[in-house]
Amino acid sequence: MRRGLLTLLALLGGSAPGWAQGQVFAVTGSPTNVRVTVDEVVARLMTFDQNTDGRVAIGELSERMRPLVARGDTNGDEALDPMEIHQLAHAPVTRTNGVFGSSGGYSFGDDVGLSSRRHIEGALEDLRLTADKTDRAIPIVRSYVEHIENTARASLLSRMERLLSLEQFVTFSRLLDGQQHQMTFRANVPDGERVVRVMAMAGIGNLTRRLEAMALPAPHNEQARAALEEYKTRVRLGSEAERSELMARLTDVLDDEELENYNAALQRRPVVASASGMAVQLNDSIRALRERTGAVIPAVLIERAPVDVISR
Amino acid sequence: MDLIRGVFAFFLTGWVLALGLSSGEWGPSEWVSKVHAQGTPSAAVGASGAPDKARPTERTLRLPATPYQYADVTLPPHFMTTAARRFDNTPPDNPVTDAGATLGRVLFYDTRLSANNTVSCASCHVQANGFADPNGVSRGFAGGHTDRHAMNLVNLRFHPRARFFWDERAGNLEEMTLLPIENSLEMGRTLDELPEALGRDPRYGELFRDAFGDPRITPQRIGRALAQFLRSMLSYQSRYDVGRAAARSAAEDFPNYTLQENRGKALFMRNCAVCHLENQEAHFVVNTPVNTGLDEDTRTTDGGVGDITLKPADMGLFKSPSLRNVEVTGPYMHDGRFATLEAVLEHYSSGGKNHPNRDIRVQPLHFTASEKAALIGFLKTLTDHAFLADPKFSDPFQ
Repeated sequence: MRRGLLTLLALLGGSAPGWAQGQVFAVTGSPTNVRVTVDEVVARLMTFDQNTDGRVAIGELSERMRPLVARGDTNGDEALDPMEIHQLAHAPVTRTNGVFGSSGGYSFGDDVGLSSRRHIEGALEDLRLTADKTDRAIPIVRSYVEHIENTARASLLSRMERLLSLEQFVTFSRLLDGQQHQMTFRANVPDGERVVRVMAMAGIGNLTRRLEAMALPAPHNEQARAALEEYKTRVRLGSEAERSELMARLTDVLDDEELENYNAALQRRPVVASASGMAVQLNDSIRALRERTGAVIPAVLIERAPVDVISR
Repeated sequence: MDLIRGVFAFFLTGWVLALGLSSGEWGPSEWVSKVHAQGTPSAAVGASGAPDKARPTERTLRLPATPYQYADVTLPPHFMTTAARRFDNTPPDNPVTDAGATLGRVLFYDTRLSANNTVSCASCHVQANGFADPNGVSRGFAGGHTDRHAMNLVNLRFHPRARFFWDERAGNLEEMTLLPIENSLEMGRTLDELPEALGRDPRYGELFRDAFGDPRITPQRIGRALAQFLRSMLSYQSRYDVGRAAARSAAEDFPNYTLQENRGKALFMRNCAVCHLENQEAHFVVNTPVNTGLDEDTRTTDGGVGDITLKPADMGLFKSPSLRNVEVTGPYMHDGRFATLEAVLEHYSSGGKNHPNRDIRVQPLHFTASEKAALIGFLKTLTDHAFLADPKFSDPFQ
């Protein structure tokens, strides 16, 4: 039934436009903190120093890299020494980006609190099962999603209850319960007016920040963070035992190849992209949603589909 | 059904038009041009190792009496959405014209753009291969090998950042087209000598006058004409395009696909589109350069964009070509390391190597054998046979 839906998650407050199918747009940029360092850049450039005189002469560089010397040679010796390379690596680069800017950042869906429901149900959809098989498999998968979301939530709240004060716990629970809201409205999108469903999300990042703001004592803070991490993992895919049970229940419906493909698809971690321009168009609706729910809403999930499908 | 019929009628019309143009290709104006045959650059290396001027072989330039239509092309609706049109990098001062692209076509196939008359742009960018090089790395005019694979030239008009080469060092197509001519390994010409070399042929005066209003030959005009020709190379008649026009969205099953191809498309949309089909449904380009985890070492492997900017975050990032016609554009990646699509999928299935700048989107996907087959089935639907054989993009020298 959901086949053909186009999905977006738009970030509030940014600038890049986004409108595509089969992908979601989220809050954060790249979550990875591991990056090449300036020292590594210097080390890379110095590998071109063939005569080992401690500097890279213009003739030692490949032709495409020679403009670097014009940019970075401060002492006029037509070569780059490590200090000059270091300065180049820190200098801002003036480049034209053409007529259309770059994409925003990306993150894992579970890191921003995106429900796995779409991923788990979508992976089943991707198998292109017969109608009969789909009708039998969908209820199994949906009950699985509800089960893992409920048990993950119950487990998290149970652990948090022991770590937070009553006031903190109430705040945290409200934030968790208010994590996802939905509404349907009409919006102007780049290729015409469409009815879209918006799912607003508080996001795990928000929960983490709220926990940090609570300034729990060290042992409690560590336990709370661990509980949140476990919640993220469980709500994403369930535990191994839960997944095994799901696959066992599906054995009666899917053949071996379908089971193998579904199991592989479940293991994948959905990536979401920021595309905040959409939020500009949605601001009014988001504001209304925010007022109605009282939730902090850093991102919205938009499901786009032809009107006759989404309006049902 | 009416919609499907309409779509097929649209593409059928395109074929009829193409055939009609082909039948009238050879006009009265023929020009014998002394140009060395392509494909033998190493033979032009003298005993000293220095490139010799090759002995010219007579080739005849044949152009249609009425120029091909390059400027006025009717693209399918999914190319015309607001989002898709935003990818168009055509500059206001160099729109594609029939005369400009015709000149660009002649230049593209003219070996006189190389120092010893042995190689043209088309030596490394072969039409039957989606204008990519079927070899892993390309050979220059003197027989030397470059260190990168010549990427495809498909739908360059729709690369939104308008930056070109694997390391994005060229800021627009006009600039990009001149750099290989000047490169000492690739074509070995100086731009200053090029107007005189081409000006010896009177037909070029005519072509430049038709394109730019007067017969003056300048490096800038050469770059602009080549850029026009490249921007005119549009692939939009694949089975994907037919299917997309018959469906309400790219995510919906296409009526002209097999079950396996639709499964492959669904897998692509869920796992690959976040890079290759972002923000639109037409172009199959990656909007920004990406580190796909091809190498782990940051010191000795090709730094890509980072070697140009020296920004740490750019190290190991490479531009990605369009996936259109990907079936025939192998070998793949900037150094042609993967010979087959299966090998490419295996790379993404494994998640690549652990480079510090590896993009978050490149993660282990663990595709099963059946999923790989479905994905490859889908990717092959991006092949546009009309484009690969279109005479208006073919070698005009006979």
